[in-house]
Amino acid sequence: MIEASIQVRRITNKVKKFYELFGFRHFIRYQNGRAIIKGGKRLGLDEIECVVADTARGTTVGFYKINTLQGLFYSLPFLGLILIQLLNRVDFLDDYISGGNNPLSINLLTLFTGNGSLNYTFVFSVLFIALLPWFIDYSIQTIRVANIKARFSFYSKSAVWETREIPTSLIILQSIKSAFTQAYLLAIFFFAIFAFDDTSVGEVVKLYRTSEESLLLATQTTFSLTVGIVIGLLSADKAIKLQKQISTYDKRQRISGSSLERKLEPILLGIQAAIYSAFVFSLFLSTTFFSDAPFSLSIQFITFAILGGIVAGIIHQEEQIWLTSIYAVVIFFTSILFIFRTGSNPEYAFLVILQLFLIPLPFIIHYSTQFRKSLLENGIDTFEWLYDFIPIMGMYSIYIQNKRQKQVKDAYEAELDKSISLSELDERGIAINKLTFQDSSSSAYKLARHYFELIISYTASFEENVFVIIPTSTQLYQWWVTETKIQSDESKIEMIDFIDKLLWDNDFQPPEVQISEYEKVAKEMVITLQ
Amino acid sequence: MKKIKLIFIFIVLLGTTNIVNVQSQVIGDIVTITPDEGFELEGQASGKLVWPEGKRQVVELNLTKTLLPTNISRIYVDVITFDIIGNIEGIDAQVDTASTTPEFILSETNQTAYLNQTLFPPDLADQFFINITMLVGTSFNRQVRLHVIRFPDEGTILVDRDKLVPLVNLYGFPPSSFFSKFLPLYAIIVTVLLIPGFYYSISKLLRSSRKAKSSIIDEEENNND
Repeated sequence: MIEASIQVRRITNKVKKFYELFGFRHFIRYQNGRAIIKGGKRLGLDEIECVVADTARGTTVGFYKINTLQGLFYSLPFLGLILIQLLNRVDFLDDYISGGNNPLSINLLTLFTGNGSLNYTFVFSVLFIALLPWFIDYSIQTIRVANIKARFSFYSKSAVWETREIPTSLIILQSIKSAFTQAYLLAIFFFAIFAFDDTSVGEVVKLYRTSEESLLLATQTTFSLTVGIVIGLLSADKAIKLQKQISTYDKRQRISGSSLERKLEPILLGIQAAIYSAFVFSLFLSTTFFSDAPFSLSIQFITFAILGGIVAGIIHQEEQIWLTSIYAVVIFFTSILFIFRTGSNPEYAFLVILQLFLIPLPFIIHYSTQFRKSLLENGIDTFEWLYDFIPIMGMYSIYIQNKRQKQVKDAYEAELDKSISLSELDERGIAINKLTFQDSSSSAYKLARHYFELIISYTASFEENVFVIIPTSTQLYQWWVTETKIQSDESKIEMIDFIDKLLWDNDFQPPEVQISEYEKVAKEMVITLQ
Repeated sequence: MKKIKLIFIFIVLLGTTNIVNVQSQVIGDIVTITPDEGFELEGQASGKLVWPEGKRQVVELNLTKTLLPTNISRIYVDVITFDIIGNIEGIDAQVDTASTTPEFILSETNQTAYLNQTLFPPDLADQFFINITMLVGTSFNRQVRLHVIRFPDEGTILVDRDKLVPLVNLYGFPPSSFFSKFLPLYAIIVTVLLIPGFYYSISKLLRSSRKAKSSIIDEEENNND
């Protein structure tokens, strides 16, 4: 940080503000006089890197997209479906996978892939669904980098250039991820009985006076109704929330117009999202759980998804608990609906009872949505994780944040060990004669370093043509609070007053303990600034 | 004239419904059994072609000895079995059976033995026929042989099911064999679903305990000062 010039710091500050303006969380690292500012909106690793460096031509700024293959991580569970099919062909594993010789005595192949067999259609549909999230993330990243490049060149000249952030179709496609995983989870529950051994299935079929084929058809019918509504509900809700978040940075995405238009737009977006997600999921269903179902059930699935999308569009402004409750109510009322078919089709009696077990699921998932607070506390504001239940990427993002904070702290502390002479300040006309600051390993010396680091950063936050003077304690403190968005703390303003007095008042000789205490506060202020 | 025409049409319609009404007893064709021994036995079954669900029906069987060679003095009919063959999803399968040991002995020409067998319509099949199997032996050769008479000769007997279907019929909870596998799977999935919530709760607990510890240390330092 010490080595970066004022110009590099100034431009770094601009990039930082620019990232903040458009909702990117950022991480700044100074290395060999260059500043590398990584920006990210999604979970996991950062997606854009900006390098600010002093060259012979002047200060250069470059934006690059990085970690483009990260989106493949979301594909892994679906690629796992192909993997499980391949492993089942291995002699000593097939007994474990499809032979039921596992602790749960379940045919794992049927549990995870329904009746899907390893043919071209299955592989194609799974690969399409696996690569879709990667393609969506890649497209969004490309658009963002292009937009940022275009905007920054105008922004630095104080001009405004409003490019479109992300197209609505990509927002909708991004919203289908969590709805997809929810629907797949429910598919595992609904069709689990067909993965059990013949005795279990036989007893159920006998008890309900039906046949296995009738039970399968009834399960598919119930699934297309219940889960159709659920997938529409969740994907629509996420799409509306994503658009709302993007609209805070791109005014053209904001819902505007008359009150009727403002009510209709979310409903229309919800319907679009529901159709997209139901269509993509029905592609997957057709090769797995619905492989021998009539085509009309796929159409029914999409139709009921539209209904879910309409409901999400109506309740989008309500609290999260509304969505959870509607999710549970959908399962409950579809059970009631199917009760009246039990007289003529006894197999529905089994599905009515199965659905009763699924009613607590939305409330369990609602309990887990507070993981979003963990992300927000670590400065990660993204709707990428909303109803997902495997928060690996979220936890990894939090781990990366903490690791980088530690890296910043360690890098700064390592620089403190370098004995940079304060005589450099003499060249700039700042004379510090006090003996207190002569020992480079003393707390006072370090405290002075932190203070001048803050002053230099303060100076760099102004435009080139703005005349900057040394700030007062209050000005410096207010600037720091604005930059870091951390709530006010009296110890920090006390520290600034203290160092100010220590530097310029020759008669002020505080005890070492007090200096050391304020040195820690000052170090924390500098590290937090980065 | 018009009135007469109307009455005539009404009678014809009534007669037609009677023809269509198949609830009356139907007598099957006479089946002649002529084994190698040289005797002749005629069997004839009769019964209704529509059986109401759950109600017992009687199938009659007449056996008449029509020819007896000189070397045979008696015909023995030891066991008669009524096998109900139902059509379930296109496949004929035995759904019920009733057997009796009438121990008929037919020694005189044109002697007839009568048998009435009470049967119930099957639950699983809506159409069925009856194979009447007889074990027949003679005084010349006591070793019995199998002879079968089908009733009806062609076609099937229909089961008239009660059209009144209950609106709600829940048939009870699934069996324990289902729950023994479903509940562990359910527990595993619920645990996975709760992981994010647990992560937040645990990290919150750790943070609040760290804050409590640091405030205790600060207090102690202040007290020492």
